[in-house]
Amino acid sequence: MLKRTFLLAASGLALAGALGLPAAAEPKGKDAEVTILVSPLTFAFPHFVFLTDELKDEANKLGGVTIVVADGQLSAPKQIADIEAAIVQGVDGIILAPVEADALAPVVQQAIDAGIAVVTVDRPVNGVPDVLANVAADNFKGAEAQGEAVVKAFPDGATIVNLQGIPGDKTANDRNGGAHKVLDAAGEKYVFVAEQAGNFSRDKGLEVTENILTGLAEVPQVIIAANDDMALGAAQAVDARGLKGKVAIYGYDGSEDALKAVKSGDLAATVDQFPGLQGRTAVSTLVAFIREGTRPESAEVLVAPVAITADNLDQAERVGQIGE
Amino acid sequence: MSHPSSPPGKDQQKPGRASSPGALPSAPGSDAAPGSAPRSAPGVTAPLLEARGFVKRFFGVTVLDGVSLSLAPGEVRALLGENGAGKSTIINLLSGVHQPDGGMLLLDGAPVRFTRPLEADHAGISVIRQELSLFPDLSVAEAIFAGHLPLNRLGLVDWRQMREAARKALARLGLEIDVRAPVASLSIAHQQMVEIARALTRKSRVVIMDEPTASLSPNEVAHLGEIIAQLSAGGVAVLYVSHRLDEIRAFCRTYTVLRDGKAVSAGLVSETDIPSLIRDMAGREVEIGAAGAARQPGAPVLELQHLASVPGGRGGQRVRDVSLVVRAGEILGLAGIVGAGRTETARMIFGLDPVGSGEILLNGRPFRAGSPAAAMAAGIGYVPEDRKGLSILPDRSVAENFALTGAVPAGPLGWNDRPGEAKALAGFVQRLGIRAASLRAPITTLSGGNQQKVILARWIALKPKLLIIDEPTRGIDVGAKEDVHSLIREIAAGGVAVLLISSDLPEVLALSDRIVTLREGETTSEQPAADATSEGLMARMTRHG
Amino acid sequence: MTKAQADELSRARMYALLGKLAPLIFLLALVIIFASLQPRFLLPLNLFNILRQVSIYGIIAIGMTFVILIRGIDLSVGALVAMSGLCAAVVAKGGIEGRFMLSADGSGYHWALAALAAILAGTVAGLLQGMAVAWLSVPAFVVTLGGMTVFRGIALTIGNGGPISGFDEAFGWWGRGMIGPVPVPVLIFAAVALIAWVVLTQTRFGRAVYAVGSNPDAARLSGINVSGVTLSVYALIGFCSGLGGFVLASRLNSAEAVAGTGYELTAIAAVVIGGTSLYGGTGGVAGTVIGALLTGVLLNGLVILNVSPYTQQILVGLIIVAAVAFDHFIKRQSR
Repeated sequence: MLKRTFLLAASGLALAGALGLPAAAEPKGKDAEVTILVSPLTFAFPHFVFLTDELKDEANKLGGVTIVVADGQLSAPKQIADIEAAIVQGVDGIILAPVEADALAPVVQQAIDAGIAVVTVDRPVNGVPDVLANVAADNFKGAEAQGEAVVKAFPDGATIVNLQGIPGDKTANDRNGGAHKVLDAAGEKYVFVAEQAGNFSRDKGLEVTENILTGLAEVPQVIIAANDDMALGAAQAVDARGLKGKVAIYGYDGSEDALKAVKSGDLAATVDQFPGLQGRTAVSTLVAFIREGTRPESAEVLVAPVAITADNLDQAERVGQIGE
Repeated sequence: MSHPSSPPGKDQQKPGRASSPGALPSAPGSDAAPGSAPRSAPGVTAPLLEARGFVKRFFGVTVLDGVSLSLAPGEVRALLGENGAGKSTIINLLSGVHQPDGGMLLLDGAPVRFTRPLEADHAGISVIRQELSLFPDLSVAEAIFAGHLPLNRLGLVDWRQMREAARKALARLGLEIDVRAPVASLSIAHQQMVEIARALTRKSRVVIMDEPTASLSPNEVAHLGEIIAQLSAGGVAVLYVSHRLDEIRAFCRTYTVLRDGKAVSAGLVSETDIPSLIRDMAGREVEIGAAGAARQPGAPVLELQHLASVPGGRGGQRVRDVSLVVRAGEILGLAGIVGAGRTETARMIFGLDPVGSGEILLNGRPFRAGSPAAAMAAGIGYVPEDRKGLSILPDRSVAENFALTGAVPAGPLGWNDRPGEAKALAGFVQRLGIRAASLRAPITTLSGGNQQKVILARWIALKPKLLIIDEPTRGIDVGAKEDVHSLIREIAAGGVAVLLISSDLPEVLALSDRIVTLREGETTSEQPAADATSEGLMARMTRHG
Repeated sequence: MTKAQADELSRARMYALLGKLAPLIFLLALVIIFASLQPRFLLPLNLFNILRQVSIYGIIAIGMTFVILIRGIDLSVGALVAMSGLCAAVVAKGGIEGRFMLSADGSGYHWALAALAAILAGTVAGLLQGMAVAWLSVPAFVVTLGGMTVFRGIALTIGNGGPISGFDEAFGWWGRGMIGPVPVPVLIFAAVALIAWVVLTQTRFGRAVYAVGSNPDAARLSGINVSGVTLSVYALIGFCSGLGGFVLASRLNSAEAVAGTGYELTAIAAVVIGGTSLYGGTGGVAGTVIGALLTGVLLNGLVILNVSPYTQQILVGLIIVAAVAFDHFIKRQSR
């Protein structure tokens, strides 16, 4: 495997050499045709579907940019293979949401060595300083925004149910950590009465909430969920128990369904990480570098997550898609 | 299988009809001729293995009630009894599968207690089981040495030595097969031989054989007799469990009969006779080999003309040129040694295997069954040889096993006619003397003989025009065997054409109207059963020319 | 009858009885433990919660019972649930803008059509897998492992990765409605279980299923169409998955490609806990219902006790193994 990877990379390099591409690419020029490989984590998450769609739209606006999309399928080997293929094909740039920060590092380095510019989106790769930029929103910061929204709505404290993501998952840990940091710091009047894993899924979120509501002697005031799917599942359970309006539910991701629910009052808030903006920023940063050699001011392009409530619904990226 | 060139005393050892006295194999070095001197009787030579007052209970029910028996070095003891008499339990106690609830086990005069089969194995006690315990995916050599693979200096398996030793062990049994072939590719008889070879290579001191000849052909049985004699001459004690009384007369010096968990008689084989053994086992008089009333054969139902299987299948072309006729109301015996192509012929008729060439005529018209269902629709029934593998549904009830062929039609929407099925089965239970305390219990709670009766009932209930019966009495006890025989006669008397396949020549002779012999896939003779003898049939089953 | 035979028989009877009761005994023990640790566990509300949560994978586990009875396995059910749920959603919404336009004015269709679409999609998918297993003799594990990916992919394609949500009241009734105090999904589960029980125990087809699982060679030699039975059984589990997909979409008011993840293992666990042998031929629907309840009680009880999610995974695994070990222990005692 290692040997094959090496051979592939070597042949990629040879090919790049044969085509006359220098190892450190010169700017191609203002209107040059640009081909970019986009490798999102997985299309099973609407977050990345939206990110990619917006990214493509931005590419269209820029003009002369060809986007090649390869579904990462939550598999590091798949992403590695896709990037190796892209090196051989000689793309100009790569936008990557890496499945594993460490596993993808070597192949990203190979791509850069072959003169291909790389931007990571949503999450970084580890230990490759030559990556042009990492365009991301910080899950920890977003969860802090979620916690702050709770504190703002319940200044006198609250009983809180916490629906966590997949146990052990990095995103789940960050979002759990951010919410805890804010709410724990806000004093003992904020009590976590139950904390359970909902595995980021709607049916599990529904089931777990049903069970928690039965198990608790008193109805909790707040449910915070580490993603919108679980929050929407929780809203179903709350509705079924006739508690609609009595429990404030906080989601995360700013999905269309969640925005609708915020609008209708089923959810109190969701957190928008602006995946579309991330996608647009990633592609414009990359194309600017390829065509004109301009680097972003910092390699960390952070998009600040915002808690979306009924009051600032118009700030949400996907609000345009939920109709009236 | 090739016929062994000329082992001394072969002809005398061949188990014929019950009349053959059978010279006991006495190899050089054997301490005494059977029955000639009391000093060879157990108790004089210090026993190698002795069970004293074995008691075994399962869930409060006593299966063994104070059974004692001993094995001296070189002794060959027959253990007899109907199924359910407690033979298997004794084997399990001697081999460490179960532990006795009472009594004791002595090895070389010292009390021992085996808590696991492996301990008995290490003490030199080997069991050749009725149910083949081989590992079907292993090669023959691996199966023989499983659990004690020979290692070379590096601690790795010494394949060359293992194959060589396996070849030698099989050669002792007169079997020449590729020891690298997977066990599953062998016939049942050959698998059994491999099982015996496995015990041979373990240098066992005590060998327990549980129905070893159930699937062997007559000359293989004779050969086994020689092996037993060899083992005995080498000081190995053998406990020989079989239903075939002529074999016991030929191979064994002493015997113990079990009935209902008790030892009802024991002694020297030479001092008893077959009728009294049967009486001891069954607790009643049973006649063996009584011929039935003469039957009047009718029109031909099945006719095979130069039937051959498809060449190049596994094991080669087993059926090459088989021609025979079975008429309504007659029993045609199809005799042949294992591998002669008897079962393969039956499978082609029943639509299980494709026909290579030749014709099958059913009621005078050309017939090819594409599937068993089609064969059944055409009025053919097939009771296969391997009851456990091909007939019974082990987990299902007696009633369900009976109803499997759908002899009692279902109601609308495929609704089972349970009352109708129960009524039909009740009729058969009475008619065939099926002994089962509950018809809703799994069929495996029945003895082998009663299982076979249920399977026969399954097919008779379909009222077939042609019934193919393959090894109808393999591994079932004496009483049940005679019941099955009279049942087969009754079926034929009812106008059904019966094609009987059996390795048990006395059975073929006792049941058939006519007998056809097969050798290497070809019909070699056809004659009325009245004119046939064991020796004559054997000759046509085995010899060239 | 000899003593030995009597012994065999009484053992067989005890085997049959205890073998059936073992999962139930384990279930009751679990209920008693949870109830004593948290009295709220026994609230009628909670018991109905458990039943409702069990019902969707219970429906699938019923189908899985047939598959395992014939010595098969189906790993694709979770993906099929997602795929058929999305089929129902697309029909109920009249299509998705820009992808499928099923109705001219963009209005949705009746829930019955949506349900039909889900069930049809599931059944056809199951049938195709059955063909591969029965006719091409590809191992069921491989076929359905492939199916798992294929159907998940189709589900992603239909929904373009995202959820389709917001259905009308009538559609939602199937997952969220009640008849008296009883949730509708529970009634659907009960109906499916009852019909399956009748089919398995009272009909030719049920008998053929057991025969094929108990001894396929004997079944074939007795004139049973083994391929036909195999095919039907995989179509049947497809039907169950389709129905489950519809009910899940209705219950969540949303269908998405990630729905039903892991259902295959939960369903298999329910069947095996219920005493159906992975080697086929023994077991049945009653055991599966108990197995499904046991799984449901376990997940519910641990959440109600607010056991840490990390610890939960350990406990769930241990208890499932213990339940099956208990079952096998009792059966071995009588062997």
